[in-house]
Amino acid sequence: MLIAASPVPLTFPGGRDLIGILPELVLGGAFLLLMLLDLVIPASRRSWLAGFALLGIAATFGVTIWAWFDANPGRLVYSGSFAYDRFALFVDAILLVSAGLVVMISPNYLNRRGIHYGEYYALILAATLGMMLLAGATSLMVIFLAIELLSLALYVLSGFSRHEERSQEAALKYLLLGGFASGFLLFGMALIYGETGHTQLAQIAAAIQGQTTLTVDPLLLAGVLLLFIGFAFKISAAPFHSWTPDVYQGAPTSVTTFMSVTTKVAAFAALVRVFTYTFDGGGTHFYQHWEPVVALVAITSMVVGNIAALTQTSVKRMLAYSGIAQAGYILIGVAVGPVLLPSGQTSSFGTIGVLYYLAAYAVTNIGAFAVITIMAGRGEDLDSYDGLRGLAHRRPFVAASMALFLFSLGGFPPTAGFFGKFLVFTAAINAGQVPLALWGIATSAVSAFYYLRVGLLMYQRPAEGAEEYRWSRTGFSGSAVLVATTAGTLILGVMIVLVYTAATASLKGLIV
Amino acid sequence: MNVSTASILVLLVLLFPLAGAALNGLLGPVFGRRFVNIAGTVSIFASFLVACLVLATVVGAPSGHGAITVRLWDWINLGGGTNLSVGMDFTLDALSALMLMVITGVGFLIHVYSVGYMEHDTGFARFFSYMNFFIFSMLTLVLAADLVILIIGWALVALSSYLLIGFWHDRPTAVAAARKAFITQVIGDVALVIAAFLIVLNTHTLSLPNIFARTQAFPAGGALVTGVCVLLAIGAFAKSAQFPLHTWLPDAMEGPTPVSALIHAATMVTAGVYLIARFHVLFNLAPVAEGMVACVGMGTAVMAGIIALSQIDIKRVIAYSTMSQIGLMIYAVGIGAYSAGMFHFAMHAVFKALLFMAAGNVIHALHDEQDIRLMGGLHARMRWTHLAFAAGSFALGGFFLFSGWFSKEDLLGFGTLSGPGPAPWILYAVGVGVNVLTGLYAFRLYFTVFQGEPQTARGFGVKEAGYPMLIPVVILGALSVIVAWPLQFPLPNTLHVFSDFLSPVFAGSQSPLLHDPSFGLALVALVIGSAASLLGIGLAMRLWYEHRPDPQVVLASLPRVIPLLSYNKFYFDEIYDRALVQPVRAVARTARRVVEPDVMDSWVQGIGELLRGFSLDLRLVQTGLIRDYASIFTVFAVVLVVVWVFIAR
Repeated sequence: MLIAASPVPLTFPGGRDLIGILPELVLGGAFLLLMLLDLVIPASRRSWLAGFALLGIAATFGVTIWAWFDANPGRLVYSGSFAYDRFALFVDAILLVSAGLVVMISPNYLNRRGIHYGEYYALILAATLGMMLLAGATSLMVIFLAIELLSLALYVLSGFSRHEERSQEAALKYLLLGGFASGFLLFGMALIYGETGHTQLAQIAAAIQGQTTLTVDPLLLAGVLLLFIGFAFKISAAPFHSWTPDVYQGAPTSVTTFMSVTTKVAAFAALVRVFTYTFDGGGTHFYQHWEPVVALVAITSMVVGNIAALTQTSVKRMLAYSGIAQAGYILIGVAVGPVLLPSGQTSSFGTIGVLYYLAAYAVTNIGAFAVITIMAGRGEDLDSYDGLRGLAHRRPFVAASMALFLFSLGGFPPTAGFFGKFLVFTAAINAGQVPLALWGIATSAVSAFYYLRVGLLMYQRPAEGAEEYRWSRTGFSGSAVLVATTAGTLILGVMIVLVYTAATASLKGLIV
Repeated sequence: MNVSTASILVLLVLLFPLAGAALNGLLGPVFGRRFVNIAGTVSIFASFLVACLVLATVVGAPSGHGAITVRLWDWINLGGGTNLSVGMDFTLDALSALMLMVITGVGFLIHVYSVGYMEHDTGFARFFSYMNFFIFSMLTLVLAADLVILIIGWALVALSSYLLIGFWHDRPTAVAAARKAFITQVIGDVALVIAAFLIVLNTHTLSLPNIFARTQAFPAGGALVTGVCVLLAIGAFAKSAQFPLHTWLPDAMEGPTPVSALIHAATMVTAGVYLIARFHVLFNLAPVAEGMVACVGMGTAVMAGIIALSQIDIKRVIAYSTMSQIGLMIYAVGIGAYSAGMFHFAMHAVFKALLFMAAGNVIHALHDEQDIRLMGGLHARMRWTHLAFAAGSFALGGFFLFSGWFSKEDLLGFGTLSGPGPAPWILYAVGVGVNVLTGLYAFRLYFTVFQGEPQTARGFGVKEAGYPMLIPVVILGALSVIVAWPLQFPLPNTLHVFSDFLSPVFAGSQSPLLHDPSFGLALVALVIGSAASLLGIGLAMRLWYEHRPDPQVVLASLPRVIPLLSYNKFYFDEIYDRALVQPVRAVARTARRVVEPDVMDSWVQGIGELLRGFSLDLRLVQTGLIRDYASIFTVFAVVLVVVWVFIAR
């Protein structure tokens, strides 16, 4: 039997294609250059590599900003398998800022842990590259490749503390379970391909529009759900989250900082593009078939994440469960999807909420993890709650910013976290999914307990005779990161319009 | 004035105090006293210079263009069918320019004074940080052109007031006073927020200019607008210490004296007057609420005046006089004489800040003695403070050609015709009585403290205050003599610079209560009012200077109930304690004994334990074994897909 000819003939990439992946090209170039530099730079000068990595990220960020203005309107490149649009660029910007902040806090931490190897920065760039590709991917193939690229880099990074059993264990767990989840993802893709005959999102969307609401193809739906499960693993949504606490705790803290934020950001970007905008099904309202499942996973995540966080005694595990819960909140925005208003217009409020939440989560969570990265003592991680006891009396500024991050994670105004939650809850209520918002509000109340508990610990006086944790010096780069994340957390809470406008614009430019 | 100039002015005037607060709070303890003194005062002075620019631009603007509202940025703008929009909106007009001048001008002098006053206090950095923050909050409140921003400013001044009253947090009385002030303020906050909800519900906007443009949502004299105005007035009463929410102000004197001068005399307590003036468009539609406001104001003026006559703590006497004078301002804005109310506010800010600071000098000189019975004879040893205090007393007492005379007579003159039937005349008569009372208590204080002979040995050894504490007092003393001369004369068709300046703000709508008196009537009212003030001052002189008759004799001849009521402040604290505090505490005690352990605890603990139990169960699942994780993953994935795709749908 003959395989049907591709409707788009294969061509050599032209200039327009290359411009479409210009940010990715620059970052990829930086990645290769960094690998070479590692060979010539002596071991005592490894911090220079951080500088070069930062330069590469800054250059990519600059190109991304330029592309933001160029990609209006955006277009599909490489025969429709990659989107050069503002949506991807908005997500790229979040990813690059996050990567930059992580690179800034890394050298001191890695030196103190004795694991300062040159490939660290190359791996960070490789993972970021994978994430940027994921944010723009419009073909199931590119999505899969991007996920594998970012995952492979993260597997290695998780086990970066080579001499530490816990880190090795984390890497192995992540690798095995990640491979397992990739199986589900691929199986889902295979089913979708089998049922629609296409791998490109635009054509899949067209094929789904051909369905009728009454007789939806069960295999197609099974494929969609399996694909979602694959993504749910990446965003660590319950009940597909089991790996998260162990890996977050075992991996070096700077790596945890990086992957806790960026993986979620990239995977959510893909979720929005694939589910909210490809599987919506246009007039057939196909989304009604998968939305309840997403809502269910969102609720499970919020409940499991928040409740499990209550009894943790390790900061990293607590933040891991907090991340699971946050994934649940962001999923609300995905579950709400595009809402058909009575006026006939489509409101994409939920998606704006997702984007805002991601930006807010990125600055806040990086800030919180940065504090325990920067403060960690020589040769160890700052992990137990006791390590933060009395921090406020020794490092008032660090403790104050940590308190701010905790408030933001808990969703207190006027911080970034409040408006993230506010937007997704509002979207849920607008869409008539009030129970979803109520679950969110109730679990937020629970979350205040464990966030504020850590906050209180920092402001407690250490017990008489008790030994204080030996916190490290903040250092210049550490201070800069804390100042930046503090400012970001406040600005996203006080000047909502800045990011809100950008998110709205990026959504308008979204193409499938 | 164009939008960008206005935006820059607004930003600057707000940012200087905020930066001062941040610098003093964060770096003050590191850099020490000299840094804090400079950062604390210079920030307010810079803000004052910007305020002068604002005033100049408002005055210099062609007529009809003196007001501008700028949106610095959208705070929340959700579009998408929700129409929720909160802007960082600020208004520059004559009213806010006036408030800016008073807050930053008087505020600056009080900051300079604080440099001397806090010289030996170790908490200086915290103090200046709070003071700067208060100025920032107060400026936010008076500049706000959006209900949300207004409420934020409103709440922030209450917060800074709380922090500053309780500044000496190791004194239980100070902490209790701070708490009392804050709780009372919150009652007002609640009323204000409910009013805001009603306004938004009916006008669908949070922006003040839009609200005032959509008055068709409020039928004139209707229940809705009356309710809104009564709620706004309750908010104003709580902030301005008016009956029945007045009991916090005397206790607030537990704070350092510069705080009393700045917050509890010159600025924050007059925010209620400002609020009513700002919402005059609504109040003009609700004559009933206006009448209520006028009566409460005048009633508070009398009550506080009577109480002030018998108090023995120098700061509390001044605090009650503040309450009484704010009562007059509230009365003025109640009858729709907004310019007159604001004029008295401005004059009062000058002479009352002066009185507080001069009293602070006395307290300092006598090593923290506040009992006026133990003072006396200070005029010779504290020459400059005495002169300034005398000027302030004449201004407060409404002596001819002192600043208080202009503003008080102006305000009373409007009272003669405002309102239906005999009501205005009754209120006017009471107002004349308040003039007598004011003269009495102002000069009782002056004669007792500065004239006569020192009552204690310490009184002979007092020294004049140092320059930082003296110069602001002397400046304000001079001002309280001359400041009113070029501004306003309390007769129609004479000098009216001040009310002409404010008139564009209030030109849009006119209170149905307000009727300008004719020249003749105003002249008669002026003569009567001035005579009443003189009578009060003269009586005070007879009683407390010449002791003919001795005050004790007079006291004995009065029915016992009057001094008892006055000295015990009409028993309000006791009544509130019995009627509100004790019952609430009783309920709380019962709740703690009965409801708490049996109901709440079992519930709350139960939920807590339940969640904890879940949490621990979840930990059991977290075995750390990859095979378990993979199994969980698979089971959930398969069940989810199979159940949803093939069974549930």
